[in-house]
Amino acid sequence: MATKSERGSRLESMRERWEPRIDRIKRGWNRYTTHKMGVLGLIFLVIFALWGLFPELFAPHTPEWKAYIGYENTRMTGEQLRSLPHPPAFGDPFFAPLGTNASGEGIFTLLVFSASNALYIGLAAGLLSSLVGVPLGLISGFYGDTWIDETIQRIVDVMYGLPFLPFLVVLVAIRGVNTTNIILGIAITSWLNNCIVIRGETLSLKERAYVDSATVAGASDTRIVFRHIMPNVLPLAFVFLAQDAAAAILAQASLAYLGLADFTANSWGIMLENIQAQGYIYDAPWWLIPPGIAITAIAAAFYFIGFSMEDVTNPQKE
Amino acid sequence: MTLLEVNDLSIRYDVDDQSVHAVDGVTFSMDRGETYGLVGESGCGKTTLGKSLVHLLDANGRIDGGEIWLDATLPRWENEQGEPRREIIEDDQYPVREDGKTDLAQLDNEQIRDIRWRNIALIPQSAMNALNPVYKVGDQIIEAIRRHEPQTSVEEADERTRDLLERVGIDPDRADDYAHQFSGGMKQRAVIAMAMACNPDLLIADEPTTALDVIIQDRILDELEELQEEFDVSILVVSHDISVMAEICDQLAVMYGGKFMESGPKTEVFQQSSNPYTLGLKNSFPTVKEKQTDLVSIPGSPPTLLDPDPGCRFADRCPFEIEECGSSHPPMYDVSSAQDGQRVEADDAMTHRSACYRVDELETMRTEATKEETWQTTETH
Amino acid sequence: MSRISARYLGKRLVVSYITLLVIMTLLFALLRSMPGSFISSMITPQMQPEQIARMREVWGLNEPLWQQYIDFMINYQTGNFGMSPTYKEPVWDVIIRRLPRTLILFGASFIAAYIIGPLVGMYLGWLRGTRKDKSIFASSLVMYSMPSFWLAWLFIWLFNYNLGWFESTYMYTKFAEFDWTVLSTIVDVLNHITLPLLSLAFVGWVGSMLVMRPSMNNVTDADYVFLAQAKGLSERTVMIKHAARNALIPVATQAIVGLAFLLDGSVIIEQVFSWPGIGQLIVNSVAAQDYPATQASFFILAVLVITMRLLTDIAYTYLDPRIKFGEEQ
Repeated sequence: MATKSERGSRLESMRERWEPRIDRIKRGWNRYTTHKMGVLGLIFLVIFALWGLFPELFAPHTPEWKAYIGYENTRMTGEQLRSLPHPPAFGDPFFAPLGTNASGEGIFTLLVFSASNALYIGLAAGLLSSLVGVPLGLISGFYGDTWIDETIQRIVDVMYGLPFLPFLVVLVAIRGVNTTNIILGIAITSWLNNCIVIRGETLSLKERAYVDSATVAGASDTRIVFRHIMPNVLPLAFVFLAQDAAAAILAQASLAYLGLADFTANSWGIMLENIQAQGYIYDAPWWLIPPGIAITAIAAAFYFIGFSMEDVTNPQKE
Repeated sequence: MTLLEVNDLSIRYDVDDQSVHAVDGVTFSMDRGETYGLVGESGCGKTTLGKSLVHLLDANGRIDGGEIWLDATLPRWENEQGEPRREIIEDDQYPVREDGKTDLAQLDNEQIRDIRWRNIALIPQSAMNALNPVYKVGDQIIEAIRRHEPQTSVEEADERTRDLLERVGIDPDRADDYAHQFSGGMKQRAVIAMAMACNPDLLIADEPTTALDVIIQDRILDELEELQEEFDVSILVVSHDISVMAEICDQLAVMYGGKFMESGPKTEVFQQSSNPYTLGLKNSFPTVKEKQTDLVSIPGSPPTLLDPDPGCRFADRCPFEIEECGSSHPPMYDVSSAQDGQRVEADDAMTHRSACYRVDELETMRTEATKEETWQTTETH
Repeated sequence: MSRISARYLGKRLVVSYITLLVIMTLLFALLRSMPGSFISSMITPQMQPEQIARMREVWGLNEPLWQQYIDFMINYQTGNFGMSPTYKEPVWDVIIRRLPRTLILFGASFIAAYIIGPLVGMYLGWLRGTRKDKSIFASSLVMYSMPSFWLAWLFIWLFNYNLGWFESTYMYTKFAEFDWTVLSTIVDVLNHITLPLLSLAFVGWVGSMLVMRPSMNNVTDADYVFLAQAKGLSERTVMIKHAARNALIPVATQAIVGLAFLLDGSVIIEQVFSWPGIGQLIVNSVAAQDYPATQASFFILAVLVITMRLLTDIAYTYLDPRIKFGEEQ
């Protein structure tokens, strides 16, 4: 049974360990907020996250809603059908601030309800890519120039010869078009960059004195990697996470355009594929432009955040 | 013949809303064929002073006043004998004086580029890294030659380059090699050869011996001396290493906090030091010649120079401080007059001078300075 | 080329070849792992069992898997790609016909992207931290975030639909009455390539800029840049000849990945503009379940990527003399 004094000192040593880290995070945040770009990105991301979490709050309708008939199970008249896709309407004959598509679904509604899909794919693919790339990079760098490093580097070398999108196309076409496959496919190609850069950082960190002293003190390899190297490499890993997320969202949109998308989900890419497949590209700018802007905005938000973080962790001289 | 005459030069660095007074009201002169040393701790302004002569300051640095008279002028202002033309001297818009000297402080960005390398060559610290890794070494020297003597053909420049390399002890065929194929010492000498390519009047060597081991240090110093003989060039050496100065300099200036504390002929400054700071410095360097005494260090650290207080810059750390020291930084007094007990401002920048209000109490100061207790009882504020 | 740099390139050649073999194996495994068989698209309900059996014979599907694998590896390296059910001709012919078209589009976009990217990166890196730097940088990130096909549609809408300045489909005019002189052909192709090229380059240039900019930042601090200024060289000479030339080296590293991304972009853009190249081929043949054509076009694209990487390695030896003489990075 821990005595009162033992518990007290344990709490104290925990506080000792965490205080400098919390302090560093606070300082990092202060520096981050001086970057207007990063703050803007964060704002957009929060907006999209809110859309993803509470779409009903932000969208005028739900995806089941259709123009003229609302949620009823009736049919539209021929004249009503001919008016689709309908430009923005603010009450008469229905409320759709960004108009509708050819099936009568509200564009703005679809936009809001698709946010979660984009966020999910971006973050899932990004995280998966990091989960593969960062550890491999750490191991490769820590055991630099040994057979472990060589092997991993050869694998990376070979994978660099793989054409990314064609591989995704073939993979998804053959194994089935579902979100999981898409995420897997994207992660498989994007972990390479992660691995290489993390390896470089690890290599240079390895040279630092405190790693040597930890080895002398008898620390095991894993302990050194996790306690000493990883915390320093983690900020860089976050930067890559952001970039991978952006790339994943763009890749998914491209796949949707090519017809390789999970059509049961709502996504901005599918909205664009629809307008092209149904032939309204030149006729319905209210349908054409918003999904593209949404994709651009979320990808740009991730890039803004990533590069601002990079500036915080790796400040360049002014 | 005076080569360089610096009058009341001040350099500032702008940091946010404030400015750092890196160099404050410095006056000195150099003769041709001389080696002049600027010595002091890091941050005393010596490197800034050296760089400022050719406007090679960082982006936020600027000359805030003063004159830099060099006994040379821009190529386009010269006549066939290399002297400034009559009309240039007479016309007030050109910063050229009666005696043919040009005020470098008045030149703009474009004009100073003509002076760089051709008249004043500045070799940076760790010159070994100063060679561009993607071009051949010889080509970089040719580039310097053809920049300032554009009528030279490539073949001529190439010949001169190989000749230069030979003169500094490098096989002329190595001109076709890249920097990474040279050893450290060779790189240093290659940079020196490049510096001499246009036969400059003045060579500024910024910390020539830092980051080198003692053996190479010695070699570099010998080479600098040889250079002077070979090329008949004047050298301005900037260093924090007093022993280096002791070896090669003719004249010496001790800087602190952006100002000169003491200057004059080397032997006089060393053997008849007349400034508390110099005396303190001497104590902290071991010499082989004198009998072993304990090293005494000056307590405290150099000032930040951000909007500095009035008064002597060294006052805080000086064991001889009196009330007068707080009024303003002392002017440079003439030391020989001081030895006779008089405090007279020096009018010749090349004689032995010292900036200290108590310069007339030299005997006392010199004796006290050698005692350990003097330095330990100083309270810094 | 010196003895040592030849050894470096020799090593890269070997690695490239092995990479190709591994990718081919991966391709084989992937296409043989799918449900249904390789020729399932070619089997129509009307076929007799003997026809189907003979087809299986011809395609080697009765052989053991390892035999099929070896046949595949040998065939592909000798240019035997089989027959395409949709094109009704040897796949090789289809590929050879389409490859130059992809090379033209891809090549042009590569040149455009890798001229603009490093140039902008050089200026931004030189001007570091200024407001101009920050705003141009943020704008370029926005450009980088645009889906290329969507951007292409906007360009088509503006330049073709509304202004009628350029063509938006195919690679050259298909009308029989067209007057085919060398000059008119060139002008015609230029007319057709402008919008696809614009769409590709608009997004593609950012990748190399993102590397050039920080590289330029690093290089500008270097001693040799300071010395170049001390030599009295003009600001432009220092920036371009001394700083940028060194800053370019990491861009070659980025190009290894950047080229692959540009190729991805070409695949998409070929679809948008119906540009009759390999990218369009692979997408269409996947949709049509024409697996011989799919397999072969994937193979060719992999060869393309690997070749580009090898060329980049060669470019390295020119960019960085330290590589040339034995110090491998």
